Amino acid sequence: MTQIHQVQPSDKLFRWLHPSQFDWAEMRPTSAAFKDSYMSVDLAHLTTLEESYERGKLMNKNAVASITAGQAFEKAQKVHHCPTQVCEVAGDLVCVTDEGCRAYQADGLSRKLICTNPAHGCVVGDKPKSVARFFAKNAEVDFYPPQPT
Amino acid sequence: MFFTKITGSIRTSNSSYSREVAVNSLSGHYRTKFESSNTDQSQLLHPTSLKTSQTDFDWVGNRNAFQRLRNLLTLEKNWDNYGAHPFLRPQVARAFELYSDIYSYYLFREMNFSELAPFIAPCSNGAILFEWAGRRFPSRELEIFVPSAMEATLEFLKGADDLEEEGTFIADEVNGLLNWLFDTES
Repeated sequence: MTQIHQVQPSDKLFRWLHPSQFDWAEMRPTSAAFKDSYMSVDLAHLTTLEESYERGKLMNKNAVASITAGQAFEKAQKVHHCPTQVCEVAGDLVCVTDEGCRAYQADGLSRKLICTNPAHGCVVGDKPKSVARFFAKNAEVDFYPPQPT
Repeated sequence: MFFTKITGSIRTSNSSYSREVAVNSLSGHYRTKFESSNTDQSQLLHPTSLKTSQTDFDWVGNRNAFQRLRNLLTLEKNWDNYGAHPFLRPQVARAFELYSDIYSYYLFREMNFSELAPFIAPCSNGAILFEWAGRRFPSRELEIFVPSAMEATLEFLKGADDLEEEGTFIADEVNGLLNWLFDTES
């Protein structure tokens, strides 16, 4: 089982953006990408942009917004490192970290799980409009592969 | 990837629309009285008569608010790869009603809709975002959310300098928000 990383304020969090949630004319993310109470991210400390992109590109994503865990803490969010795990038999996602997560399964640890994303994390907490806007305004944006200049 | 193209009937913008704007003399509120128009049937939608066909939609290059709203229905379950739900027609129809009210406001104020139109984006939590932000709106920003639950009220967030104000509103009150955004409050 993947060792759980204690998230630090300086940890960078990657959030891949669906093309519809990004203003391509102004190259900025919108609040729309940061509304989930359980917001999936990749912990940059545990992956690379290139490796993370392998997951992002599955949905034609090549723009990634990054915020820091410290920014999330500032807005009363919790940040978990919760590696994505899939039940080998049933193929469903299994979260064993947070009971509020829609993938949480109380018997998760008794099942045979395969880790599909060891860098996965979750920014947990209610995200009122001001918080989503804060993340959108403070996120750094990277592209992978890099945009031609 | 395939997307859905919708035709049908709903009130929205077209060239005959400007003649339908009505003003409430008591409240000063104005909105467009919708009647079916023959000018552009492809622009007409109605939640009960949506028809679809498959086509690609360019979420990167296409900023047209109407078309972005229409193509929300093409986003399938898990469209964001983070477990998002698809958008349902009643919610999109509600967003079109809001769009119609906004469009009417621009017409009444003789403002250029194409230059100052809201940016439409789907939220991962199922809401629909109307956003006035970025370079086009340097002093005041406005976000309006059409929630996924039909019984829930519309939500807004005003932003200016260090001030933020958020709340809920009913559709008839959108003009007040736009007045604030465009600083036309008297």
